Amino acid sequence: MKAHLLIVAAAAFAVAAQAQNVLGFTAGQNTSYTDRLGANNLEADGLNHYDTRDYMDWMLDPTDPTGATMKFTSLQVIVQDQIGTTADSFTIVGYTEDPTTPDYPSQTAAWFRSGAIALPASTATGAVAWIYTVTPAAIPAAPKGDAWIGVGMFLGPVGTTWPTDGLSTHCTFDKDTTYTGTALRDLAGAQIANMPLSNTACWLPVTAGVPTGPATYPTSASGRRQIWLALNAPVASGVPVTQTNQASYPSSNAGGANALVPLGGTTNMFSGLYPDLNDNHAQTPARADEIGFLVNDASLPNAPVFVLIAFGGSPIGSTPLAPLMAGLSGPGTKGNVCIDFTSAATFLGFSNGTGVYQHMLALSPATRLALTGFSPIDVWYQGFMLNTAAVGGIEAHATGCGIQHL
Amino acid sequence: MSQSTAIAALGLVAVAGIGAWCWFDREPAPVTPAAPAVVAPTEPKPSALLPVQADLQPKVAEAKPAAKEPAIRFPDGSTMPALNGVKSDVVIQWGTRPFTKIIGTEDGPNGWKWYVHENGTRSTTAMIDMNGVPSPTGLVAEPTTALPTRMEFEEGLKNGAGGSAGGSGKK
Repeated sequence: MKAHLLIVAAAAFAVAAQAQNVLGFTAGQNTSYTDRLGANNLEADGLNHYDTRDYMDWMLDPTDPTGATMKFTSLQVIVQDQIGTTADSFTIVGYTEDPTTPDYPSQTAAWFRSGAIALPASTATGAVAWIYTVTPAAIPAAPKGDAWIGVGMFLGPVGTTWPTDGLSTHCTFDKDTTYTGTALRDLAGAQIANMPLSNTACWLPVTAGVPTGPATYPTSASGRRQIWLALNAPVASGVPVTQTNQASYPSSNAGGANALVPLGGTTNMFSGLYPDLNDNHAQTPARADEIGFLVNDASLPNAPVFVLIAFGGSPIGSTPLAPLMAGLSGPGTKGNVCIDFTSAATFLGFSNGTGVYQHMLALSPATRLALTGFSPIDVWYQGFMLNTAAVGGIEAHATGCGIQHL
Repeated sequence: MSQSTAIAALGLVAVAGIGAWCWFDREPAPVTPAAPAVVAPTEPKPSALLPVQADLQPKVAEAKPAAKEPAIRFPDGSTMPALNGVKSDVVIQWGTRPFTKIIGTEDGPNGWKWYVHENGTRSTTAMIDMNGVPSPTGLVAEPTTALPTRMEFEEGLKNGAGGSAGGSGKK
């Protein structure tokens, strides 16, 4: 069967239509609060930090054969106005890394910044929130690497302060073991203690759209948060996914009816990247998270998906996939090989009718113990999807690499 | 890069399934079943979120545009005139919920005109700067549940009012 499929893949000829995929960062992401990330009464950019420590080659510009630039096509974010009747607006904004200060966004120039985006009319005297999907004609490409993407928040109307009025964005907060409240917060595995605070969301002060100071990250672990922010791009998406039993964070539970993550679980930057395999925090009921990888390419429904799992990155560095396939590569092949392909274990699955494949590892108790013994250890994932209708060679779409910290 | 390295990589990518290795001591999870239908998050009804005012009453949607008129192309293949001075076609990237038909238009506080959809979603086009250059931009705004701030939530718990447990998780 497998050989048959590969023969079909190699013999067929066609280029799949470019499809916009939701890159999987928000699959199963309950949000906790609305927040300005600390810039309560300052004009500031609230930014998620997408770190190459966690994600590599994940939104490569498919028109760049060198696989060295990143780009996306649209962005989704939730903005909340504390008083619906007042006029508010926001921007979308992104930064690349400061060449002299690792893990900080470059202050010299934003990668991109939009003009003001207004909220629709509202007659509500209380808070209103909108899930915005913003599709500019083009987001410029940027050199791949760490990325900071988020929402520019203006000051509230004159004479008011936030949260009396003004704009904020919905975020997920990390949960520490002392928290006893009922907000939907996510308790990550113990290895999140090794996560630099600069790995999480930050705010950057701006004046009239110009950065005026360094980014500010949380000063303690209890302040970690992730903006609910989805990105769309015509590439195959791949992100680590974790299923937990937390009642306090139901979107991370197995099952459910979320089409973005068919078997359930969260891909957020907390448990999604830092699962708890062996009940690190002595929870009741005990945690025994399941881990895996979520692949999505809307242009390739019902397609074979190879998921590679290893303990490190490519020994030759990230390399475009097409040249590695030499003469066998057909039109439409895209993405880089970033995983350690020399030692990776390989699994075969099939995407569903919407192009989603969720691969869970189903670890045994013995394996959990063994992995814990090796802790801290990073598990790398990468997916490769094949277009079985392709003609003129094998058309493969490589996802980015996702790295889970155990 | 050596030829043998390239061949090894190719083998992993294109012929990987033939030699699928066992990792640890377990078989992989079963093939993903077909996805269930997308379930829209539980959201406030648009009428509750946006009480209709006389000056906000949607107008009846206009007829389809003439062939050469700049248009918004929606996910169902339908088109409507581009709004707010946009002079080129815009393929709009849809939001998190299914597309529903347009039932009217409304004017926003900054003068932008929006299409109003049956489920309360708004959509429009506008010329919005991208790095200082005016750019035709598609916008979709879907009403969703407002959340408390962190302080409001925790104070609410202390005061016995409780906080909203509603995040927007099922997206």
